[in-house]
Amino acid sequence: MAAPDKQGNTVAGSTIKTEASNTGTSRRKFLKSSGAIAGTAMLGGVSSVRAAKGPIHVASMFDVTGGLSIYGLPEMNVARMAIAEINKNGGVLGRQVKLHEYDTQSRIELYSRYAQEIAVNDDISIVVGCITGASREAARPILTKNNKLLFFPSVDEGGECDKYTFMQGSDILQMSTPLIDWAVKNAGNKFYVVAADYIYGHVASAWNKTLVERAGGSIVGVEFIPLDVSDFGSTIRKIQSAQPSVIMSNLVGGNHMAFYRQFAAAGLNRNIAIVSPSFGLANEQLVLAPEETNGIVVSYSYFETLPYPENKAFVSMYRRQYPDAGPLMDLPAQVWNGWHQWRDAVEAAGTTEINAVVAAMESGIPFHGPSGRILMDATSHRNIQDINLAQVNDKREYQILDTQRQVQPATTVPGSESCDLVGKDKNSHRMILPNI
Amino acid sequence: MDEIAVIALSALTSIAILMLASLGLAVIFGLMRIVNMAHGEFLMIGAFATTVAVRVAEFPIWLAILCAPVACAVVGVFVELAFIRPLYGRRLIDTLLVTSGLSLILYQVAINIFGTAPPGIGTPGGFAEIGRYTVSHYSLFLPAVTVLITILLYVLFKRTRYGLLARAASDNADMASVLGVEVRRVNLSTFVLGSALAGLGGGLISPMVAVSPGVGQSYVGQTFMTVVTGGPAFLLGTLSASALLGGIANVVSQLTTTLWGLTALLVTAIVLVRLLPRGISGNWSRQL
Repeated sequence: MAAPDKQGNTVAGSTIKTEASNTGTSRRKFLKSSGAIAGTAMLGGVSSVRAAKGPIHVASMFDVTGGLSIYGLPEMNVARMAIAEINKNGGVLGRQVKLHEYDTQSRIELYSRYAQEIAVNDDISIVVGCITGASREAARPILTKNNKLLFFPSVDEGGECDKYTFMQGSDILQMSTPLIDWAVKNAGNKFYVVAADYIYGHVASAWNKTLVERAGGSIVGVEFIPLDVSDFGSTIRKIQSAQPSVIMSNLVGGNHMAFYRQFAAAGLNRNIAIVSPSFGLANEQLVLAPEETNGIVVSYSYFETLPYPENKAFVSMYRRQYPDAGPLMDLPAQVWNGWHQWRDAVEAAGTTEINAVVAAMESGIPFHGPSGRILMDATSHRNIQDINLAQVNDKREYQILDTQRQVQPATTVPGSESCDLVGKDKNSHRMILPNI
Repeated sequence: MDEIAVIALSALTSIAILMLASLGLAVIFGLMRIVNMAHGEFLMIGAFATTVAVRVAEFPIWLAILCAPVACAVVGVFVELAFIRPLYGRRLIDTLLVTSGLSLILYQVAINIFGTAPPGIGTPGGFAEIGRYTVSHYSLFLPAVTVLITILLYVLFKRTRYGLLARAASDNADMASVLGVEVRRVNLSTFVLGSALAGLGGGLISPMVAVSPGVGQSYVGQTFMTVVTGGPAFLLGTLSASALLGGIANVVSQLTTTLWGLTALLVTAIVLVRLLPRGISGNWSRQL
């Protein structure tokens, strides 16, 4: 039974006996118990046997230099910290973990090139990395075609439907629902959407339309802003014409920070609220002045101020190792979650063989990390996690307004298909594109 | 009525921002024919000089903006002596390579010094009400200061001895040299002036945008287009090009979307360069 998927890769669907490894029995038992043996097992296990004595090799791909280093540097810091902590606590399966760091330099072509390098490296079994959706789509098909796992720690628009890819970041449905509900209750129901002009912004705005209607609000204007625009004069004028009560901002990146500044300079922040599922990822609240950001409401799974003991330990470890690195935001915390979910899955599977690890991930092993409890949802390969609603105060800090426990991720894409990675999509290695 | 006034003012601000970002390049590329790929980083240095002066030295914003050209002038002296001086009279591509490398280095140095999310400063001043609309005072101040800077530069190049020598040295370096002009020193002054202007542009723009190490890079493409479209009259040509490109981009953004505004800017530049290969000022009799 071989089913070609959208990329044209042929995926063997029948059960193939994998090479025996020293932990074979427990793995087989595990697979049976999770009911995942049929249809998922593929040729594999070679690497885990070959390197059984030495360290376990893993890789990261982050933009440590170039324009995206605002995200990449803290993520790389946490990746190193997570691997060091795992090694200090005895490693994985009693073996040390060796991290291979790939600096993708904010260049998409390097994602493809390094993915190729990792693909031909028999030792490396997993990558936790990629920052933007575009970079993920450059690396993901190459990695998963070559039986490498990819854990993606970014907030994103959803739509990935790949058996070998797991998403730690929260999706638009998880983040925007509480924002819109809050806005309708506290600020008004006339929304103006400003969004970055690429796939994230467009999908986010499509979701916003559905969610705003569901909450009983209306959208009085939508504007997409190219990523290299930092002069928002015309947008500010149009917002004043439309007279909304709330701005839903899906803006991204350094240039777009100017929006909040020019919005405040024109005095619009006096009577129009801003909610955003993307504000703060690049520590916008530090770059902008307190009077410009005071009152903006955001929602993320992770904030540095969360009260859990796991978070306190995480933050103090980070401060000790990287005293000058600035506050921690959602993305680096998800890198931590990603490495620990991988560790727990490999420990449960007893091997780094890809299908066994995937089955262990899908079995849903809860992890208590800096952002509280997270649990992998087998259908979507996304985490069920807490979502916190927070407001920026006049001291550049986030004050948590509300915590929604264990929010389910999206399994559909607006106007398009759904994804079920334990059902109809169990052999899929594809990306569902939105129909907008 | 109030809507038309606000659109006009917003267009003026866009023009001013484009002109301020282009001024340094107009002198270094327009007058000296050095392709300065590090122009964005010069803007960035000016912007950081301003934010640091406000945040660390606690200067008032107006004084802090004046620190920007000084800081950039210092960098300009070093860059000219170390990298640009050996390249006068060589192929354009040589300066392009050297300044591209410089751009990468300056960007990474900025990340190492300031980190990826450096604290910025807010926009000074309040806002004015025009009918149903409000516009920030600072966005009205920018066009005024742009006009002032342009007039001062015009006087500098037209009425002073330095201006005469600078134009002579760029027009025909050999002849100027034969007539006793010390071309090397004049070139140094002009490069430093261009650097200082880039810094001033960055400093003036900094309270309107978010200052990070990448702040200048989004302007580089537009500024090159403006200076090339402007043509040989590096000052008034660049001003005309800024008015045309910035004005069209803003008004089209107002009527349609920001993406079409940006598209209109590029299309206008392409059409102009096709119809007037030497730029807007190609047929002018004046050289400024």
